[in-house]
Amino acid sequence: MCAKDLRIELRTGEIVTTAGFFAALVAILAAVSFYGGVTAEVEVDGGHLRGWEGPPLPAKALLRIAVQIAPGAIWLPVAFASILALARTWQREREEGALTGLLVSPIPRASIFLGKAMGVMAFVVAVECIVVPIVALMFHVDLPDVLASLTVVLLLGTVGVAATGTLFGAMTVRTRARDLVLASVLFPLLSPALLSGVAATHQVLTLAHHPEFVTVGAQLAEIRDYLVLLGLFDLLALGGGLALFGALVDD
Amino acid sequence: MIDVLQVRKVFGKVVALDGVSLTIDQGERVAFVGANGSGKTTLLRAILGLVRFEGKISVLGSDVSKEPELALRSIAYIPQIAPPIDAPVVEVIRAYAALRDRPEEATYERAKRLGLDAGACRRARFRDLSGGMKQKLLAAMALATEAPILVCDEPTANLDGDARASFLEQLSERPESGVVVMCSHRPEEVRHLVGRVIEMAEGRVVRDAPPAEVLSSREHARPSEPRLKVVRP
Repeated sequence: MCAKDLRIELRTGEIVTTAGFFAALVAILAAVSFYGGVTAEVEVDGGHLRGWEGPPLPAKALLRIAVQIAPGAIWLPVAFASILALARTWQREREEGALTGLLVSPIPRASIFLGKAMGVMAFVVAVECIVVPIVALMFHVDLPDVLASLTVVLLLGTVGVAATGTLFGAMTVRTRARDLVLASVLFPLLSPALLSGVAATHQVLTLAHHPEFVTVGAQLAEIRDYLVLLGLFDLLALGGGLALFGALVDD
Repeated sequence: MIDVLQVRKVFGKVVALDGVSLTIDQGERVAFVGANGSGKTTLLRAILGLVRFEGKISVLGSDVSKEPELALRSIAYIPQIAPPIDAPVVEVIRAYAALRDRPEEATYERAKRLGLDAGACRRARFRDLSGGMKQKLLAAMALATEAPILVCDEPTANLDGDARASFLEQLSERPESGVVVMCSHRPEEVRHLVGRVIEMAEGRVVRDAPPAEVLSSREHARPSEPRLKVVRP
């Protein structure tokens, strides 16, 4: 299933191209609207930064204002692009009737779900590969300092987005206003993963400025709670998908 | 081989299947006939595990609802309407062969016998093939699985005379223990292919008899239809 979706995508390029372009546009718009490329910096008052729950920061530490906005500029385009990718990938199944061919094959429904979710995850990761460098460039983020931690956060978030999206994509594919229904249903459901992802990304970007948290291990240890939350969300999404997918794809 | 027990399926207010029970034994070739909306395609889809229903259908002892992957291991399916798959023919054949754990060559060989050189059109998109070519390829893929149960919906509707003859020949080569289950509106197809006809109406089995008996009474019951007469000058 995953190989089929990837092969079709390699041939047509329609999902990654459109979703990637859209995500890049949203990221650039966010940068221009909320940041404007200004390299203004805020001074941390009394060792505490609003929204920062980590250890006290040095009183005179300077953090770029971009750190406050960049997490949203990464996750919003990724979330929107995921909906586009999900809608298109299920629309393709519906139009081409390939899903029926798979359903009458001697393979477990759970395998079909996993294959589809892996395909969606590959598309979202491809979009992230476009968005993250753009955000890093626009928001003056030193990508090498945060890349490893950011990758862990994004991958954990993407698993949950892909699994939940695949399940609800299967459910809404036969509805009339499926794109609207999918977005309306999916965003509230994804909110725990998206909020954790944004918060964890914010911490990673902030920690990178702190001399005590330059190593990946130190950064990940500091955001451990968010990673656990993302992991739990992934487990729930995957478990729910594996258990319910079969019932959702039957008429 | 196939046991259908008190199967009921409702779509909204429409009762598509109303307590259908039947058994299809080893070696039987069965056709479901009946008017449009009589429930034959829904029953076929229920046997394939494509619809949820009340009751129980088991294929070689495996419950279609609970363990479809086991039940479907014994079934090959030829749909009436070919899905408009965008992928090239070669990829469709490769994917199907991989799913059924069969060599790709078997499909090419079966297709050739049906009059389709699948190798020559391997780069063409499946959806761009003609209706007859798609039907030949679907039949070839299903026959190549050598599954003990062949389920088909109007299998020869789009086939030309030679392909139809080859299809019948390839069916006759199947092991005697094999089962064929089909839906059809074509009396000549039913006469040639099956030994048992199950007539359905309003989601129920109304008759279960040899083809000659069912078809002759259906033909007598049908009002005379206007026919187009070709007059040579």
